[in-house]
Amino acid sequence: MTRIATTTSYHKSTRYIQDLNSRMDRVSDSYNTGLKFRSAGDAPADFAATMRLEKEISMYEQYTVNSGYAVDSLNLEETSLSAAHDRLDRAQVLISSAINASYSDTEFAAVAEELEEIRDYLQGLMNTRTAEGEYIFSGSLGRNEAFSLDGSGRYVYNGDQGQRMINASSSVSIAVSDPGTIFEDVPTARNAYITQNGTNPLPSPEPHVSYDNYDVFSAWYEQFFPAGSTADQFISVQRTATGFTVTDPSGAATQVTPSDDGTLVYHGLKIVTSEMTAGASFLVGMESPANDNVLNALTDVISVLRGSTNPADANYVSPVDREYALAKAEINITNTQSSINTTLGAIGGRQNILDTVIDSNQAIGDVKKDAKSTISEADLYETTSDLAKVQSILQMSMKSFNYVTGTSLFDYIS
Amino acid sequence: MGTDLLSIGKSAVAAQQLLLRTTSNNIANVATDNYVRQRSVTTDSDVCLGVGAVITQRLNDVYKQQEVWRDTAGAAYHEAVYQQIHTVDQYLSDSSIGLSESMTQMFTSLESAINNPISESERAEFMSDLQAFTDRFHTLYDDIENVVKDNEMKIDEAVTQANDLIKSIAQFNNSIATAGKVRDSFYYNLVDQRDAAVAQLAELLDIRTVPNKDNADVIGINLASGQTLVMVDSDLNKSVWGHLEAVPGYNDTSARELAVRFEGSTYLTKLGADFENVGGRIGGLLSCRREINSSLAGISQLAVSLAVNFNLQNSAGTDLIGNAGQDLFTLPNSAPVVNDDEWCETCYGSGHIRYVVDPSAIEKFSDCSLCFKADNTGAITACYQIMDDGSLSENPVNPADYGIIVDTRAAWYYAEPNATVTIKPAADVARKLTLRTTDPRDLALSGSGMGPSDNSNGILMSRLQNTPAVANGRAYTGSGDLVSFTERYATITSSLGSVASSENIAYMAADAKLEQSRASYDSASGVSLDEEAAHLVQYQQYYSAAAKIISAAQNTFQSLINVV
Repeated sequence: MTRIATTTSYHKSTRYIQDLNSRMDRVSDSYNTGLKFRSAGDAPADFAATMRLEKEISMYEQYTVNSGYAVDSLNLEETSLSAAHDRLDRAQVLISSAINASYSDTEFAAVAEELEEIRDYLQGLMNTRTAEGEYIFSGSLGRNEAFSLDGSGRYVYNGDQGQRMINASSSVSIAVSDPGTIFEDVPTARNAYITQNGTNPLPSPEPHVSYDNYDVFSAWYEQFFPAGSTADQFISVQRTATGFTVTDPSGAATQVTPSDDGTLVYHGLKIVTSEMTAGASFLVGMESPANDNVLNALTDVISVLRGSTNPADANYVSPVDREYALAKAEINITNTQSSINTTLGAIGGRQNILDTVIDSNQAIGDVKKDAKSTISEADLYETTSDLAKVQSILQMSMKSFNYVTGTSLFDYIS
Repeated sequence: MGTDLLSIGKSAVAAQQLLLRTTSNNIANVATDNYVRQRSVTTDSDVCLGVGAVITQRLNDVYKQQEVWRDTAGAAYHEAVYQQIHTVDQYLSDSSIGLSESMTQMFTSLESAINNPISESERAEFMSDLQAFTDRFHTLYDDIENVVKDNEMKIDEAVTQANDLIKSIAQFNNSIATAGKVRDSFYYNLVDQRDAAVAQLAELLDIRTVPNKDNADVIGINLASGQTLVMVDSDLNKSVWGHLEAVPGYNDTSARELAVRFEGSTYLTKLGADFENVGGRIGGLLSCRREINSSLAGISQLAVSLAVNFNLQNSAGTDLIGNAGQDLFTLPNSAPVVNDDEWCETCYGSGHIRYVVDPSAIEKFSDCSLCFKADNTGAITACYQIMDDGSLSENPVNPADYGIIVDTRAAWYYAEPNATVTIKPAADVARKLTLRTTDPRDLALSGSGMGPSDNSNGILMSRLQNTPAVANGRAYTGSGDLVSFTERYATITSSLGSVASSENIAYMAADAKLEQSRASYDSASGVSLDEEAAHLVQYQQYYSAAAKIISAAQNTFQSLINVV
């Protein structure tokens, strides 16, 4: 038998009640907050895991916001580029219809007029701005108007190569813009022109040059312009008794017989000659490769189309020159469209990645949220039943306090 | 003394009265702390009839009592550690005091600024979140620092209290020794009062009592480690006692240790950094300082590492105006983070070590403290890392491996002969870190030489959220030791949380053990009112009976007179 001191029985009973009160406090805390723990001391590893998960959940939420921004940004760019492509299609139709047609001055002027509208519209598209007023095609210099007219009537690019990126996930950054170089760094039609051979005067009337077959010419042209070439190359054309001796820039000479109207066909070029005495000569210059935007190409062809068809006029443009200008414009437009297509393809690719990333971010975010709630959130049923349990034990304990301490021998002795 | 009825009756009445007095004294002291119940027993007289001497005993179970004192010290130790650590744990864990949420918020608004680098309002929002995050460092550090200050005050109070108790135990000892041979209630009250002082001291320190071989009621006091606090001399009536002091730790001055100096002696005995051996509340308060220091060092390390990494990244870019990016944060003592006097703590002789944080080796920057030792000429000969338990690393270390460059010019690098100079490289940067700029345009989101719409540098900056960039609570040995900023903070929080958790469990266990040993002790030495009630009835009846003897004697005498 254990001897029980009076203080012990009081002490023990109060302690039971204190313990239960503190248990009650913990359970009701968890009931009210819905959390299993309040500080790292309650569950160090779980708390650290929750901290990590909270960071990750917030990151994935942010990635979703970023991706949404990326989708908007890419959609705006795609819309602008598609519209530009459509307008260039229309320009192509106009130019094709004019290329071999026997239009009157007025008809050519009408074509020029429409091309001018297309050009201005295109400039607007190339200067697309975001809601914040940022030019989307100016690279990193979004405050600069991407394409503007300089003092000499040429369109110049005021941006750089910069590309806007966004974080679509912890490992994936996606470009959400493309610089105006997709318009600016487009190869122009390879250009050939007539010039004097040394001091020899040009034949009169002057010879003209145009394309017979651009693909043949441009393929042949490339060999004379290794990467980085900036100097023009020359083809010499010399009249002989029976025809012409044409010498390419490497010095290889070919005898070419002209057609009845004096036209020479040489590696895709069409050289229209006039009356020349044997030994007389001129040069066909080949301009070194250049890039330019389609706005300037359109400006060039517009000014040719506005020339007169009447040889008597000061602004007379010969049919060969007109045909040549239209052909060059056609090629410049094609090249620009191909650059736009490449970019649209890249945008499509990025949109695909974004779709995947958005889905996977969503899925990963959900998994993390699940994990967090498993680790940190209290089970409501469990908490409720705990609460009821602790409450009833506490009541029992209080009753028993009464029993244990309520009896004293002193009550029974008189 | 006679053999007649009257004498017998008289001795009986007196004896029963003494029994009643002891019982009453027990009842009266039922609620008195440390009161040990007494019991009086009667003996028959060896010289004549009637009751002889009445002996009063103090029913003390010395072994159970010592167990209670040991358990008191154990519970008090863990309670002190738990209470201090728990407060810090709550600060670190709280979403509105801790760093975690604020850091996430800051990185989130950085992303928004990146998405729209040309927008000043998005940048301004990031800047204000960065400011809030910096402020959070300050308040968190200050809040924890306040716990440290509170802890220091508690140590001082507890040491003062312990010294008072040690002195009064020695004085009680002297009174007990000189009280004479009579073991009455007055004598036992003295012993009770002395034991009450011992019980209070047991709350402060883990002590052992040493009963004197001549009089077991006179006791010496030792610490569990064996260090004497109260010593009984051969004359019994003169106890000498030691005076406790909390002195700066040998290697790490910011964490104190306990030392004892005996009355009249100049010799100070240091008790070392094994605080569990000191025990009690004082041991607990001394030991939790190391844990809290470790959290503070971690937070400051995080502040330095984060600030330097942001500075490096911002300086690699171009700001909104088109200028090369500059630092976002100013570290105390300005660029490139110079330690001056206030970063430096010295101990056991003065000295001075100046250093800078090396931004090019920022990944090596850790929360470790370093200790420089000087030889007997005052030349600094070696540097050691201070380990978690306060001891020094086995081998000397190179400060460069801790991401700092020590300025070894004579004016900045000296010590007194044989001095040790401690530096905490991260010091209290968390409290002093400020933003160098709050101008949103200074955020260098664009890559080097790029225009304002570019965000390539911002993308790199946002990568800092997940980049393993900071050494995780130990000296850097390789990139495997590196974790992200969030993870580093999670480690700081969870390692302190682990201590809080284990101390809570240890406290609950120690408290339960104390409860048990106290119940067991009280079962032997505590007052039971029911028992005393029975005694009261019992002794009253004995008293009545004794009175009847006197009455019988009177009647007998009267009968005799009547006959005559």
